[in-house]
Amino acid sequence: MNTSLIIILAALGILLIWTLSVYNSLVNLRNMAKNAFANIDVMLKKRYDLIPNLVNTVKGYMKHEKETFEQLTKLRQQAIQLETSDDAKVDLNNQISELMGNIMVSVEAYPDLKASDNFLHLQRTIAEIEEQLSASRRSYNMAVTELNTKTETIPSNLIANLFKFKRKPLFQATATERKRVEVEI
Amino acid sequence: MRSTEAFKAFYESELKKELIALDEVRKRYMKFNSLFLLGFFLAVAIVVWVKYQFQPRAEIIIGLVLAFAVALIIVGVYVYKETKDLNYKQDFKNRIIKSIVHFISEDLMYKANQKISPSNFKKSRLFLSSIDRYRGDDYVAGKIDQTAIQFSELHVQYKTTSNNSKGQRQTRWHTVFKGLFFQADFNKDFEGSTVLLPNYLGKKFTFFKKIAGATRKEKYVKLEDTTFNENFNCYSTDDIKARYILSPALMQRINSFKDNYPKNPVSISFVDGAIYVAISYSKDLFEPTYFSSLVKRNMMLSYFEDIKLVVDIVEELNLNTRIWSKE
Repeated sequence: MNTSLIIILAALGILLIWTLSVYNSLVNLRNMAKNAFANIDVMLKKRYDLIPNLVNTVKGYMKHEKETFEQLTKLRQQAIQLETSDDAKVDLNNQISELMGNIMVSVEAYPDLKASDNFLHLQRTIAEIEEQLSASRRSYNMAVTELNTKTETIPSNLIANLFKFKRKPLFQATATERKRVEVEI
Repeated sequence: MRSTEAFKAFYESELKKELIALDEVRKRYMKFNSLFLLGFFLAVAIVVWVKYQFQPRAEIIIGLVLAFAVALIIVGVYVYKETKDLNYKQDFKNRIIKSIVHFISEDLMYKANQKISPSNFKKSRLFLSSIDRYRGDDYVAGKIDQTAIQFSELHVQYKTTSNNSKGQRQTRWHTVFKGLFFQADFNKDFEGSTVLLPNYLGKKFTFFKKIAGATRKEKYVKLEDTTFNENFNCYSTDDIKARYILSPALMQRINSFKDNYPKNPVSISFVDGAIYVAISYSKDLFEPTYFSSLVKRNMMLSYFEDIKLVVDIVEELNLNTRIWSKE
């Protein structure tokens, strides 16, 4: 066998190994993103379970916010039944976050409610879930960022285009989330 | 929490007179000890002088050494008897350091000779090497508002034995950790472990950071805060839990806490609902001086600040904010 053939074979071999490793890491990143999204889903379901609890606890006190409760209950129904795209799910949950945030803010006007044990417990539980939800979102965003970077940078984008890896959208921080961070600092 | 200014006033009104009294003890202690040391060096000098000046027979030298040895033992016993009631170091810790701790917070208790337990040290998962020698003192424990804390000075070592060129066994001691070790109840409930180790590699070299954690059960986690990533390498058993613990606000707080220690490596871990902070110091902490006066405001101020910075972890990391499900 002559030398040039060996060199060509070696180069092809290296190229193959590189392609495989890039492909595998892309699959790995995509699965991490999927997994992270599934985690968000788990947290969202926990939050759905909390909504009736929240509505029942505050309903008696907050007579003026009746419409908000109805809308929240309706959104929850939709969210539970929804088996469509991730984007629609994200959108629906952003609305839910908004409404829940509004309710928690309006509570300020009802001192009796604010002091009740039931509500205090609920407030803690909601804060807990929101914190876990935020952690899942951040995990998802990190995984997606890594995937996106890999699908867009040279030379791994060649492999990504070849096997049709697409960039995924990031979660934007919701209005309530942004507000909460400001308060915490 | 008490300020530096308040401490200066406290020093003038309370601490100073205690220190002056204690400094008398130090002088007495050093007088007797220097008497012994002086005797020892004088004896050695005489033996050496006699040996080279007169070059006597070996028996005479041996006799001389024995005579001096007996004399030194007698002096030693005398010095020991005179100074054993002085307990200079113990007195310093139990009077001075204790009152500094109480000045910082009345709710804290101080035990000069106790330390953080080895099981707590191991539980932190900060240092995974074996432990052959575990020493420590200056134990402080108590509650700051709702958060239970404890910390102490620790010096943890492991040993290696090897044979040198002459075939003799040699034991070497290596430091695992030396400095202040802090533990507190964390305000969120969680399982598993998240470890923050000092980052010496800067922003890049993610590959090496992953390799560095290969022996751990925790995996490398890249977080969103770039300053934080420059300060620490995060390893966790679960990346979502790591983010649940390390909220963006907490990462900022940890960054500014770390700025308090520009020279000392700081490691932090979160294990099963507790936070552990290890701050490395090369010197021994909270010790009295022996060869110079004890009445020094700046020295006391630095002891005060060393303790206060650690106690302040609770406030600085907001551990009293109990808005999550953990009560």
